[in-house]
Amino acid sequence: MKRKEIVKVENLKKYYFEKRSDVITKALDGVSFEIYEGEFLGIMGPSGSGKSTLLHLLGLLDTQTEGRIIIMGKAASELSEIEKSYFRLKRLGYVFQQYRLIPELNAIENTMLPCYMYRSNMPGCKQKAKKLLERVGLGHRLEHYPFELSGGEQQRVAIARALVNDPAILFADEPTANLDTRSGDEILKLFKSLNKQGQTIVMVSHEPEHEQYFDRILRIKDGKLERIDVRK
Amino acid sequence: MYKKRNELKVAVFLAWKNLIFKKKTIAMIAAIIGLGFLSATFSSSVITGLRVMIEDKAIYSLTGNIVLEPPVGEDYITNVKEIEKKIRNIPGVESIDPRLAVGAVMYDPVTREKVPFTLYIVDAEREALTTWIDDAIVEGSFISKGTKNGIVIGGALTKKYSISKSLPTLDVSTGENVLIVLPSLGTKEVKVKGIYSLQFIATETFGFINKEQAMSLLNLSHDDLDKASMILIKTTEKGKEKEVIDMLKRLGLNVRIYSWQEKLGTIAQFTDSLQIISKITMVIGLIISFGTIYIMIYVNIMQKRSQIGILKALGINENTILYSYILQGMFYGLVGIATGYLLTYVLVSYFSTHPIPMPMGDVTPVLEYELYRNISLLLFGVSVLAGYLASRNAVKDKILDMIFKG
Repeated sequence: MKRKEIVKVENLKKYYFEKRSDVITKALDGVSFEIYEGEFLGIMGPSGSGKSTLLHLLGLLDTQTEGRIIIMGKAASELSEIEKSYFRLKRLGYVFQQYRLIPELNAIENTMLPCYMYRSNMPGCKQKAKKLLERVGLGHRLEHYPFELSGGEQQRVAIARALVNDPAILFADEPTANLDTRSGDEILKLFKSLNKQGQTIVMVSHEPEHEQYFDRILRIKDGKLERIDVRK
Repeated sequence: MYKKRNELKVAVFLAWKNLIFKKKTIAMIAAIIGLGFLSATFSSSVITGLRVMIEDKAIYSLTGNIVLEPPVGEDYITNVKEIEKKIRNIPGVESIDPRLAVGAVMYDPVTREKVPFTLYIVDAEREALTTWIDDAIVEGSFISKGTKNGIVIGGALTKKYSISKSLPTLDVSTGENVLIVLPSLGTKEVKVKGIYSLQFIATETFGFINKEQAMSLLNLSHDDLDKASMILIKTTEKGKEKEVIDMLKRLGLNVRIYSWQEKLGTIAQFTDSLQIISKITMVIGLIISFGTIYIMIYVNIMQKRSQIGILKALGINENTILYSYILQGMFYGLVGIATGYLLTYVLVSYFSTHPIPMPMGDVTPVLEYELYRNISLLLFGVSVLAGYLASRNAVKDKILDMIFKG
């Protein structure tokens, strides 16, 4: 059965120009690939290879120098800032390496925030946030603030937050890098379980032991796509 | 796309959560805005207090709220009793005080010192009702209706109470007799019944005797006493002068009518200058407050750049973030102004019971509510503007720069 393509990346380039020295850093240099609905895609490569830059561009957090990203039928370069923002809110979920929770909000408030922005229904969003937090194993930590949670727990809140608007794609930028092995494994198992339920996930990692979780792996080196490994 | 209602609801939610989480920040910013409010208002209220004190001393000793003077070319207002009858029932008139002025000189035969002064022949009771002279007695007592031999003199005429080093004075105390040289009547001896002092030299070069004594001392008849050099009118409240003057003009009296402002030329200039100083003080206070508030709120927002980046990454749009910081600015402004009111109220209340001693007398700060309202609105505006400008700059930055560079 032919899989549905939800993202198409064509000849994607991201260059950084050093104004003072006229040096051009090619963070990404002509990358092309597709993302299919329901897959767990890994982006792997050594430090400084351009993995995170690619994820930022896919997550509409940054703008490419050249090339195209067609995401769910829309060309990213043709979206205005406000349209990109709305797209991120409604269709994309993003998990950062360092959790990036809002310190003034407790777990349930952090989780429900994007939902409240989108739907403006406080009780409904709280209910949904509660269910998600229970699903990631934090049903007993709903009212806790980020500083009262461990790194693993904070990352699980961040995952629940990324899922609250039922995103088409969940992006994760080395989500286990700041966690101990046990917490990291739990997060990966959680991702795998979400993926099994149909959630498309794109995750950046440089840990070889994570390869087992991915359906496909984009291997990036020096800003170029070295190869795509298909695991199943 | 984004709905305005959603933006506002999320902005309120974020602002509220930020505020309740940062009680110390609120307290600090509120204290700074409060002190800014105080610095803009307190010195201004002291200067206003000084201005009001000077004006009141002049009004309630020299001119009344309104003063009637003889028509051009005449020395006296005649038919004073008739005029009084007409004026008495005008709404806004509290009391009337006709004064007959005579130029006189006090004389010390031993030192041969001569002290010129204006002798006012007055109805003692009306003088007491209209002016502050009777309240300003520092030695002895004020004249009364039955006083047959007694003069009340201003402190500036005496060595003991004069605050001037250049004006001539006599070494005289209450109960002692002084010689008074009157034009075409020669020298008369009068007992000093009291000495008054308003700590305001322009009001202390007078002497006061009552009408009964004037009849014997100056050989005046009843008809003579139906004349006046001026008639002081005290209104029921300061500020009613224009209203009363309009009614006085409609009576068609053969007099010139002046408000105290028109009459107190030099003093009015001085008090106007004080008003300008007061405004400058207030403006400087406001500028300092503006700078401080702006920096405080700006720094507070700059510390949250990373957080603003995260919010943007989550899809919270710029308007929502902007509204949230404007709301926080509004809150800081309101709490700061309330703190400022409280601080000002406490200080003004204290100085109302413990007036500030100044060479011209004790000054009580005066709260001018209109001024305070304007300062409150300005400081509120500054807080909102600081919240807006600082957050506008922040939300325009690139998401990744905000998140990773802070």
